[in-house]
Amino acid sequence: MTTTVIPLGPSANPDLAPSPPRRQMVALARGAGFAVVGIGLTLGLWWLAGLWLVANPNLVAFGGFAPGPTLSALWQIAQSGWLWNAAGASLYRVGAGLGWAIAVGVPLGILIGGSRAAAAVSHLPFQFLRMISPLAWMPVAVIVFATWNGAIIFLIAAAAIWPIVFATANGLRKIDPHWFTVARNLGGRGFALLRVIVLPAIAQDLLTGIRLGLGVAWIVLVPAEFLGVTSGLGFAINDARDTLEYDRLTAIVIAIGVIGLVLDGCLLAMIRRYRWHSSD
Amino acid sequence: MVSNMNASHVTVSGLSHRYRATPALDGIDLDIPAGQRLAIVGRSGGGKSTLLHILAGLIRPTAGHVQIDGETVSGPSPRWNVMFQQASLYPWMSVRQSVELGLRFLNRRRQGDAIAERLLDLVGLDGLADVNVQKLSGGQQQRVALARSLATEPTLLLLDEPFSSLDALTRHDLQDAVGRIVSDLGLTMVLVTHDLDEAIVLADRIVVIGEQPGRIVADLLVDPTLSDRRDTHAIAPLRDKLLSLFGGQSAGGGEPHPHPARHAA
Repeated sequence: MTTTVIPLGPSANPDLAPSPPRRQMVALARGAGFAVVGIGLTLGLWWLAGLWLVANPNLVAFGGFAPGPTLSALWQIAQSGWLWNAAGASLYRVGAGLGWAIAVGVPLGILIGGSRAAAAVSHLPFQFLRMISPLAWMPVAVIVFATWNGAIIFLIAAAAIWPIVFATANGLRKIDPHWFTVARNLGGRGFALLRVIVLPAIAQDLLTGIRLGLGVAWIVLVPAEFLGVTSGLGFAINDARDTLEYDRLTAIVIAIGVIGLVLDGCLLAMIRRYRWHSSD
Repeated sequence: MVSNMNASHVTVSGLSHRYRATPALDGIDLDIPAGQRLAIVGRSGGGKSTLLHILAGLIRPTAGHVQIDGETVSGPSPRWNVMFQQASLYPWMSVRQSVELGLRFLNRRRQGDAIAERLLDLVGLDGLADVNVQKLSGGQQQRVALARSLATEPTLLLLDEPFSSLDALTRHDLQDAVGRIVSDLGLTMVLVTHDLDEAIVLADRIVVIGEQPGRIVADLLVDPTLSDRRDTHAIAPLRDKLLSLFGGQSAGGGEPHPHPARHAA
């Protein structure tokens, strides 16, 4: 008779073994390669479009849109600090709007995700409100809020709130009901249950909702900053258009894209940090 | 740590429960002395788990009450914990965080690390404290669930078919581990199972629940002189007796037939 000793340590389960670093490096290199190709193609198309503008006598005045003048203007406004002032004002408004959207949207999402009655009652009103463009509230916001800043923050919050509400509710509905039984059995109640079980359980959905909300908010920001204010990236675009500085205008557009990409990347990193689905 | 704990004395009086119009339990009276290892057996859907959940305070009975050490059970408590059929671990937690969960709810987190270390050693998972629970096998996950149930130092351990989803070898190992730990810690244990062999291996006393509605139809003490409870020849008489209480024909682990007869031994 033979006896097999089965170890009860990390080596007992092959899943516990570290994944080969070489495979990770290859995947990383492939991803970086694709990104470089994508950026190269985009720059190439932009460069061709710039050449076409300069070559066309009717459009030569718009030559500032080409990569050369744009990147030069971008360097100038970044070096002078002007870009950072404008970006700071915009980021403050987006941060405040998103903060309000989270503060209101997460509890609302938990309510409609946790209560069938609340979900049924809120379904039609929320779907109706969701379908209204946030910018449609612009005249109302101007009347209601005492400052332009207040109106813009409201518009951003109105844009960002719905993805957060629905993602939170969706996350809550996916929670295994047995998790609540186990937690109650171990003494979990009220806020402790929310903090230790519910929030980590819905973290991935919630952050995905915030990511979507941020995307919408960043899009709404520019037209919202066309309202009365004299700061921010939206205002800067309008100002550059009025002064016919197309190179500065395009530089601001590029800056908006880059900042949006960085913000999205930060949220994506947070989603990766807090995700727990084994299939991810 | 937990080795000096006192076992709980449990009294169930006139307990009945209905799920809307469907009666689940009827007239259950039970007295479980401190330190006893009781198994509740019966067919699936017979109300065994409902009884266990009422004992744990997770379900309020329609009639009657449960007292643990003289205190009427009105809800869950860290003094009596349930180990469920599924480990139901939280997938974002490490093994250590899972074991410390009850202590975290009780604001006793400072003691968590020391208690977790000792319990993980007790259940044979030392060295895996910082591993995510999703990386563990089914048997290892149930060991974590067992350690989690023991972390709040309960005096009564309630087991709701905790081995039924495991393969035979893992089930065997875990049954031995639970039996050893319950004995070492001097806990009172209530095990719900539909596996007669498991009941005989782990319990000092076996209560048979008849179905629709669930009533106690037999209450047997397991012969304490049984030397090896895994010896199929040694346990055959008791096993046959249990099967006969159900009017069962099969001795191969299949479910017995539902013709319960009141019996006490």
